Amino acid sequence: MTMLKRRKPQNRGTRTAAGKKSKPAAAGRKRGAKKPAPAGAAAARKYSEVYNRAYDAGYDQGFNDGYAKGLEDGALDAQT
Amino acid sequence: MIRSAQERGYADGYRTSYPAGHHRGWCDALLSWHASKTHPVRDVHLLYVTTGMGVPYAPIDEAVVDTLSRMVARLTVCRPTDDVPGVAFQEKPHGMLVLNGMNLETAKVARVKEMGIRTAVWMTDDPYYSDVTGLFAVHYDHVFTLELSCVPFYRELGCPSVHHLPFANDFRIFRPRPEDPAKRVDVLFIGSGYWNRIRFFDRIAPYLATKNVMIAGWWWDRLANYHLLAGKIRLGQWMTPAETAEHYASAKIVINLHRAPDDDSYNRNNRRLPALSVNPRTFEIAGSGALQLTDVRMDLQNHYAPGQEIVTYESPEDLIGKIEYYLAREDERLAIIRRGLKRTLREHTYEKRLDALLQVLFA
Repeated sequence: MTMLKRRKPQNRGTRTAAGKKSKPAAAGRKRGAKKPAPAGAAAARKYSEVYNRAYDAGYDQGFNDGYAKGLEDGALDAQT
Repeated sequence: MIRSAQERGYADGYRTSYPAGHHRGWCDALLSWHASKTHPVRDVHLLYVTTGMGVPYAPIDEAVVDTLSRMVARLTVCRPTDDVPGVAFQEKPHGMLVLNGMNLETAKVARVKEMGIRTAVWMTDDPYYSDVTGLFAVHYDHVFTLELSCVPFYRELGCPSVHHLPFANDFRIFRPRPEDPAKRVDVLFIGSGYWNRIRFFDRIAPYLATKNVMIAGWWWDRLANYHLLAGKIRLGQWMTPAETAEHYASAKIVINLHRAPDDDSYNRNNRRLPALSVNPRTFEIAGSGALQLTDVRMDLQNHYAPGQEIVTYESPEDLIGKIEYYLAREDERLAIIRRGLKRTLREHTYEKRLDALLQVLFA
């Protein structure tokens, strides 16, 4: 008889001292990384799509703004 | 809900990338400032004799030649196997600088001196081969050594003019640059597995096995714990300076661990001259935009402020603690990198070093 192996649960979090399960550790998300969609509803998928698209736009803008400010700060710093 | 997703996503993305953008902009501004600086050209003709060796000396030769070509009115370059006295007789330089000197016969140096040409040698490996360098140093008018402990050594041998002159960073190669995602690691070590390094890394191997780590170089299969790190070690790989620079720039932390001055399996230092000064990679890592965690050499504090411009460790346990600390504190990591880079650009360039050397040679 062939035994079916149960699939190991993926990253379900760890138990806290109180015995409840905590959320999986949040990894630093890089540009293009997708925020996991809440289980279930189409609304959640939509939320995730919008979030990810906005995240990428914010990422690009944040880098560019940071770069411009860094150029300014660096030019000043070089004089001191 | 959609609006909330839009705002939150944008804000999260912005907040995530801003510090990295700022850091890159800051580094680029400092590099531009450095590139815009010009040095006065000395009205002298210098004969430069290369090490005549390949890696790891050839890149130093290239850095010195490139820098000198902008600092002296005329530069003639030859190899130690060339007819150096013949070149000197024909070209009539004002001075001769030899890098390393191990491959240049002392009879050639003597003949150049007989022509009234000032001679200087810049030792590259002190104190590890002092048994050999001590044999030929006295033939030069000026001796420059990157190792503090060798200054009294050469003076006692009778060298009339001895100066401490460390190497520096070649910013043409070792400079902050965009990360290469394929090379991105948290902890990096590039170098040969000398025995003191093997002993040290064996102690931290169980910890490193749990990290995003890369080690590259010769002899690392001598680790007792090699099996723990085998997948993270690029064994026997000699990286070019350009490759090394790309890896440095893509690593969050680069470990520096100096080789031991009393390792008889590789050294020729029977007098047991201590190693007080830092290795050239100290400057190269600092110039590359990675956080450097280095073991302590007495001379280090004369080049970088520990805790401000560089981070030091005293033991394997201390190194592990500091890796954990700085991987969890990106702002502090970037701030130390910036201060280290600034110090390197200001003080630890080949322009600075060679300016000091030329001042002595043509005083």
